[in-house]
Amino acid sequence: MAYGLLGIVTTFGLAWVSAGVFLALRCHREGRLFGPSSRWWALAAVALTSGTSTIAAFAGVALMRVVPPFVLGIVVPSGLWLSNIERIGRRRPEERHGRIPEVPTLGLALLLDRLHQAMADDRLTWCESRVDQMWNQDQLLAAARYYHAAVKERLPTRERRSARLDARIKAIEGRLDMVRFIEDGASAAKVRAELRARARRERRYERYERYRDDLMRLAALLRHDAEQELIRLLDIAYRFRFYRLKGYAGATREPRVGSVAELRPHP
Amino acid sequence: MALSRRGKDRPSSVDEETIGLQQEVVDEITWYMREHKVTRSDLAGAMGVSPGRVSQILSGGENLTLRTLGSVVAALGARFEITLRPDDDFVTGAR
Repeated sequence: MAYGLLGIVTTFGLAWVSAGVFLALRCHREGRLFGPSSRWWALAAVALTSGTSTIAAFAGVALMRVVPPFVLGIVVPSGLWLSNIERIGRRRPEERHGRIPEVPTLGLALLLDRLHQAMADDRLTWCESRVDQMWNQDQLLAAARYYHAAVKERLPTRERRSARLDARIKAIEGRLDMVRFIEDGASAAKVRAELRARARRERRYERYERYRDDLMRLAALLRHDAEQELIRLLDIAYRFRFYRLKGYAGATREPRVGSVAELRPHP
Repeated sequence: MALSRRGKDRPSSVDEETIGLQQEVVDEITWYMREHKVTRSDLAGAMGVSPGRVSQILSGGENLTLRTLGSVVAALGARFEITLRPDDDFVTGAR
């Protein structure tokens, strides 16, 4: 009896460690497995997986004693069908109707789904906490350059190209340069010409054409896109586990000078 | 009118185009949210999903399906406009 209990505890313990390792491998490059929002989902997934594995292991051994091997030969291939149900269970939340597909996976698909969502939430919160919307253009640009340099320095050389770090900082600089151009009082005609010239080099500038007659909103949209690009740059840092990357502190918090709300374009 | 197959010669440009398109969609959604003061929690509530699911969508780390995009747009009470037009650098016309 004592041996049986020890066997169960040992199997559960080993299954727990194994589940933790494989879950970490599954979530590689997604960020922190045990982050503020994700930790409970991660623990639940590990507990469910290790519990199910322990039960399956002991049930399997008991079954082998009473069931002829050919029965297992018939039953095991059903995994092909079960994996298909699991795939259905992994549909995106807004695409699902009902929870029936989650039953065959014992809710594991749902737990993993929620874990990935919680990790994405932690990641985005971490990134957003490092970008202050009160920064003025110069501070935002300085922060972007600081983060770019910090990430580039830490990122393995082979990953730098795929992370498109230089393209991202160039995109941020381009948009903030355009904001400055507007805030310096460029006329609407000059802004339109500049937008057209930039759109020829980078197609994404076509997106700004719709606000070419509303310079205040155009500047706000450009700044917004620069911030979004900076968040994407920080997203890389988080995925590569640079959690201790310090927030940009080179600027004191002060109201944005010459904010887009105060813009008065030249006649 | 026949289309050239130049796209096959430039697979990286197709990847970049896809990534760029995805980022543009996310930027458009976040811009709309900012302009209309909609938080991630507000959007999650309107979509009937967790705030984490909204973060997943807005991080742009996954390939957005039209159904997901439709859910977001409907939840925001907005309309999505799509325009397809020839790219002078890409489509060459009849062969």
